[in-house]
Amino acid sequence: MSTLAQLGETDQSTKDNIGTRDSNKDQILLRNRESVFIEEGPTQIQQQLIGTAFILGHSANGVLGTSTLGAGTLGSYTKYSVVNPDKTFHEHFRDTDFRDSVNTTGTWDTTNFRVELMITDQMQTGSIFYDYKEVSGVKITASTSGLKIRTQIDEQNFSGGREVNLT
Amino acid sequence: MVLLDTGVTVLRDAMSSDFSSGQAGTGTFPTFETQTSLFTPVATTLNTLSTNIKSKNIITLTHVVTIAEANGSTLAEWEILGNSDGTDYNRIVLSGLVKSSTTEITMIQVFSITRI
Repeated sequence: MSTLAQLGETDQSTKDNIGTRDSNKDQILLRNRESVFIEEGPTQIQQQLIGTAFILGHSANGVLGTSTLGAGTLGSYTKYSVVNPDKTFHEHFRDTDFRDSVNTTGTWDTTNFRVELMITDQMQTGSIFYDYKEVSGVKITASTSGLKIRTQIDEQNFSGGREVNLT
Repeated sequence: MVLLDTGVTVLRDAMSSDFSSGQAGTGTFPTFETQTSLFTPVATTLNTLSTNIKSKNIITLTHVVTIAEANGSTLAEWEILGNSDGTDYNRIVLSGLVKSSTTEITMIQVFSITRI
């Protein structure tokens, strides 16, 4: 005659031998992996001519009577160069630094990090590559994180232009 | 688990606070990840960053070469240096720009911190 405990063990033993063999190999501990990366963005080089501004100690603009104190003017900033790491520009729509505000009619949405285009809208960037090197081609990749534009440089003087704008 | 916006901000601020200065040079050798400095730095262009702006997850840095600096040099490389030990963060190479006393040069560099 079996005790209640013995009956329970027998029952357990029977169940354990049915179905998939016990194993811990299939146990997957789910981890919500999250990565953060640091991205080096484009570099812009600008130059500004000093114009007629009075600059104390300057060989040309520091001469009283030549450059009028308080009345001279500085030149405006002009673009000299735009270069990108690995020749690749990323537009994440988190700022409007490279939006061509004149020609862009779509919504450059820096809140939701996207551009919204209706049927007749267009999006145009400013110069996302600008250097005295010949451009032979451009590769564009669109993803949920924005646009990636890779510029190909031809060192053999391919006459493809020296500036890239995306429209 | 999710990395909060506040956590990203902490990372951004830590990085931003370490950015210290910029420098230009005349070296033209292409960039590689293992480089540790400019090839031919122009000492007078080693200046504290003019701006170090934090907005959302973006850091925008500005370095200026004034009318009194590097005149006669053909500037073709730039770098950002850290505050803690002067380590170079990056190196940028562009087509040479002849610097003169009638021109001030501004370099604008952007870093962003992004979740994936």
